[in-house]
Amino acid sequence: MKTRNLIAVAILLLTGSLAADLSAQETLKALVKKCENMENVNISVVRNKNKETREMQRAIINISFNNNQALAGEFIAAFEKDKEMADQEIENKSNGKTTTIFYRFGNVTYSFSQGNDGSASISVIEKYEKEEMKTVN
Amino acid sequence: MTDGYKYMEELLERFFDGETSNEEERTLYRFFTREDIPVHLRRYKPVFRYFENGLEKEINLLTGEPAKSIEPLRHMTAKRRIRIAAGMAASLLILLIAGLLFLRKTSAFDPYEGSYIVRDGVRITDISVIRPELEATVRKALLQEEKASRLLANLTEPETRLEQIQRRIDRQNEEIINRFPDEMKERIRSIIENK
Repeated sequence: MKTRNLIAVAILLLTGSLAADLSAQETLKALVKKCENMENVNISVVRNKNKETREMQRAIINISFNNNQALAGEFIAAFEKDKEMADQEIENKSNGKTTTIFYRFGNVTYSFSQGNDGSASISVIEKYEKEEMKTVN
Repeated sequence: MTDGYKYMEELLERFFDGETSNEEERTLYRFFTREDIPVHLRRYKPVFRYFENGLEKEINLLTGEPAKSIEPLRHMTAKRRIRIAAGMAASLLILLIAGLLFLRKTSAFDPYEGSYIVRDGVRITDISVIRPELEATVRKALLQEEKASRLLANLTEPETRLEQIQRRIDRQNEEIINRFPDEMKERIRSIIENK
């Protein structure tokens, strides 16, 4: 009986932590997905593998657009919504306007930047464990 | 005598299966030179006579020299044919697998495999076309991350310095308070903290 309870608690803890990881960036993730079907939005999805080991090193999604304040606003709002779950965060404002946002969720980083010329860019970088260990060392 | 014939029948069977030794084959040749061969084995007599004499003569005619020894021709049975075919098939399979593995290993590996770009709703997956853009994206993303890391470092450094200064002040205050008698310590502490 005790063992069964212990297993149940372990499963609950495990699923809880997994759910937290998944929900950490869910607003941002959904917005990134939405951009794939939008016009006047450029997206690059890079899956970068290690040449020697042929294992995935990092996955990068870069979204860029011009003169789309509504979308830029949506991204700023999404960053705000997922803020609490971020491990690290940086926000820069200039004259009341958000210029840079950087959030780190474990091995995933989201960054947002917009210029005075109306250009905006969002990057999502997911580092895979082995590569991250290399950079730490 | 019947046992001897039985042995010869066994030898014959093994001979046609290609399993006889040279000694056993010589026994067979000797046996078929005899006159008292049982009726059911007589049909093999010309065959063995040919193996012993005719084949030697033919080789002598071809080479112009007397043959030192002649390997007897063996009749290939269905069993043996199957065995050979199975061996060949297995060898071919091994070669094929080895070739495939070699091809897989040496085939051109692209670290950007699976990458793509979307331009105005159009998805482009041809890596040879989008490679410069992918490389630029990687550079840009890494630069952005480096910039953010530097920003983070700058933000945390002054905080730790400030903490260090505050700790030093606290330590000095504690030293000052300790110089006073116990009954006055609390009053001095409140004066310093209110200051």
